[in-house]
Amino acid sequence: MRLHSARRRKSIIGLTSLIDVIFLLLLFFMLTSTFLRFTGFDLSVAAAGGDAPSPKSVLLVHVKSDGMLSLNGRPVKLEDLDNALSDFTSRGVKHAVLRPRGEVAVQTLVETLEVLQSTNLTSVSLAR
Amino acid sequence: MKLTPPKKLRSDPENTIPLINVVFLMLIFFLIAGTIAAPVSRELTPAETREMPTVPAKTDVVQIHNDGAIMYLGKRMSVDEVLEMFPATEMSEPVKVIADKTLNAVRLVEILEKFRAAGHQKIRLITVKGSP
Repeated sequence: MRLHSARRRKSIIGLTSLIDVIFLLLLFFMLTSTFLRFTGFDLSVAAAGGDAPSPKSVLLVHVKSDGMLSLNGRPVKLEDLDNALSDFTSRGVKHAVLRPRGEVAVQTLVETLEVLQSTNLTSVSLAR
Repeated sequence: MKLTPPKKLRSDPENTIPLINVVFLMLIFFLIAGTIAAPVSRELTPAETREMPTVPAKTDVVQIHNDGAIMYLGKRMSVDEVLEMFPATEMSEPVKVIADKTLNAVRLVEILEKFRAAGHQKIRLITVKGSP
């Protein structure tokens, strides 16, 4: 019986240091981990004054401050962009150039980009 | 007489076992659920997307605040200083940029054009997956 109790005493010391280490690890992981889920767009930025591949295959998308878009001059709402784009892509448009106009927030630009990425355009670039 | 002192000692570690249990479970939760990455500064709320596939968090991300200030590794930098950190070579990875959702898009494009002018063909705009 006495031998048993002596063994238990030894395990007490091991346990406290174990808790110590686990607690430190927990603190480290709590402070360093992020729970944000990141996504990303691969963009190509049109060179200023650069030459376009050919004007017919390029779609010019203006994003205006009131949330309206214009596809080669045709006004379109963001919700209808998907349908309006299929008109252009069926005619062989491969590239889109996105140009923000006026006080457009990045959030609006990203929403537009997301729709553009989901279609079968091969490249989307940004320009002023 | 002999029985009482060992009993006290025995009862102490038994109380800590549930504590260790919980702490251990929390540790495992944070290990699995979280990703270790440099935090995005608190003044910056990244733009949100809905259906884009997620990418792993990266540390070498250039942050652009809503006043157009560029932050990299916690320091405020000019465009030229950032370009020094990211020399454009053929093998270089795309520059990763995270922009505030309220930043003027024209301002963002202006900054990205400077990256392009320095020879960066690909730029990755990092966003955050919002609630669907």
